[in-house]
Amino acid sequence: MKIFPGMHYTMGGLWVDFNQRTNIQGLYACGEADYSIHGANRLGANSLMSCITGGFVAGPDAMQYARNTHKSGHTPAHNVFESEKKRQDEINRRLISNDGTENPFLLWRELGNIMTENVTVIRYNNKIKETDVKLVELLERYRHVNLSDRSMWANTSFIFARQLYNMLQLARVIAQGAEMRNESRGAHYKPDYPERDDANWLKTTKAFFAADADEPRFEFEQVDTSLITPRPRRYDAAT
Amino acid sequence: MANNGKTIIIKIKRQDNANSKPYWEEFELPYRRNMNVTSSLMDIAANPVTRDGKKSTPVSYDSNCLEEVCGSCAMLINGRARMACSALIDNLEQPVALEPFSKFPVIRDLTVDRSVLFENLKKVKAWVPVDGTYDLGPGPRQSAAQQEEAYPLSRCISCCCCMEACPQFNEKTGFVGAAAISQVRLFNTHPTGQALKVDRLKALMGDGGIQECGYAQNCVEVCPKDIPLTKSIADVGGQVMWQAVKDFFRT
Repeated sequence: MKIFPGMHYTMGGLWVDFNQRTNIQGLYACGEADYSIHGANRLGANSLMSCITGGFVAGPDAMQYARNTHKSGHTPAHNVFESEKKRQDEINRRLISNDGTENPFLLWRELGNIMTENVTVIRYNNKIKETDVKLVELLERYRHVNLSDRSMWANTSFIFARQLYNMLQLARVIAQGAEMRNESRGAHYKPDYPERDDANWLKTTKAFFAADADEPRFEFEQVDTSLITPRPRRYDAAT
Repeated sequence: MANNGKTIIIKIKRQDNANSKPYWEEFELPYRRNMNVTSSLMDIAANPVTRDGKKSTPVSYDSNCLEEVCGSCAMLINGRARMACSALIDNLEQPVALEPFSKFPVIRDLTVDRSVLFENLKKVKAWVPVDGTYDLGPGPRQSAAQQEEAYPLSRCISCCCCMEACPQFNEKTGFVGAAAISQVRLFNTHPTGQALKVDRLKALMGDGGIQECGYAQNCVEVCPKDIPLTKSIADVGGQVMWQAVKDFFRT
């Protein structure tokens, strides 16, 4: 049997509060899509658990939110949806008519190769720095993407190219977040910093997209350790 | 991976939309070990140029799990209904011919509309009824023997290979298909599911019902999950007959 390390699960995700609400009004996230449960590494079978508990909370809360919004009439103004639709239509129009030379599927392969090479199991800061430089290059080349398929019916290249942009931006979040964190914790392993650094890095990395600069910006959130004191993880002795 | 210059040829029956005429296109790809049909389609997307050097477009196809467990990538590969992700190029005769399922409306290229299966599953009420006015509580336990019989039936991935291969599945008969009949058997044996047993059997008595089965046995031949479809059809056929006899002797 042949094996190869593959992408299996994302421990992080959208920021949510205790009701599974994201920072966008009316948008909920639960399960693997939200960041709230697993920290630096997920325990086995807890993926299903986080799906179920997230859903248990998000479902009733979403219903309640919908009822309250309907009653109070506090829906976002109609022009919010209008302007977003215009923005998306513009993105689509540019994408479908773009006359560049780049094939989105080839860009995607380059993205996959470099992320697999440098930002998976074993991480080195210099390699991650190179990766971010490459990602900026790929984002620039993305602007010259050419969908060989211009059809407006079942156009899989078009859907894929839209997703590719988000993949590139998210890859920068992963790479830059990994570079900053000079320690090893859970799934994040840096041979140059093999120990946990609770003093400086017992915190959650959060990122948001700074549209004006076209790149991610970072914030940090303290982890609540009031109920259980963190201790070293040892597999050779009971703690 | 080392490429000693060997290539493979894939010919695909393409169609631009639901109403346009189909046409064939041939692609030549560099050979790599362990290629499968899905990875070949990805290679074509990375370089959509036909064998005669004509610029084309990436092929439209459904794909999801890449491990033969979701049912998305079903298509005709060298004339046989099967999943693309598990069709290894090494085991296929060259040139490899890909066609969309012929018994379903084509959306584009290799993607077809298989919603008829879901309509059929709805018709035969292929579910366990738990939505009501009160909480039914935990379900009754099933024995190991019951589980042995039910589990193989539950592995259905709704790929529609059985319906594509079935000679009776066509517009003239409106046959519901082996997958839906097997699901009837599964839910009729479920302790809570059997509440809808009569409804399910009655649904198989009408037009396109179980009587349309012609015993070709193509379905069990192509099922990627080795579901005992012919056994299910025989079993449910018996149940339908008993129900019809009971109905005959009652008002």
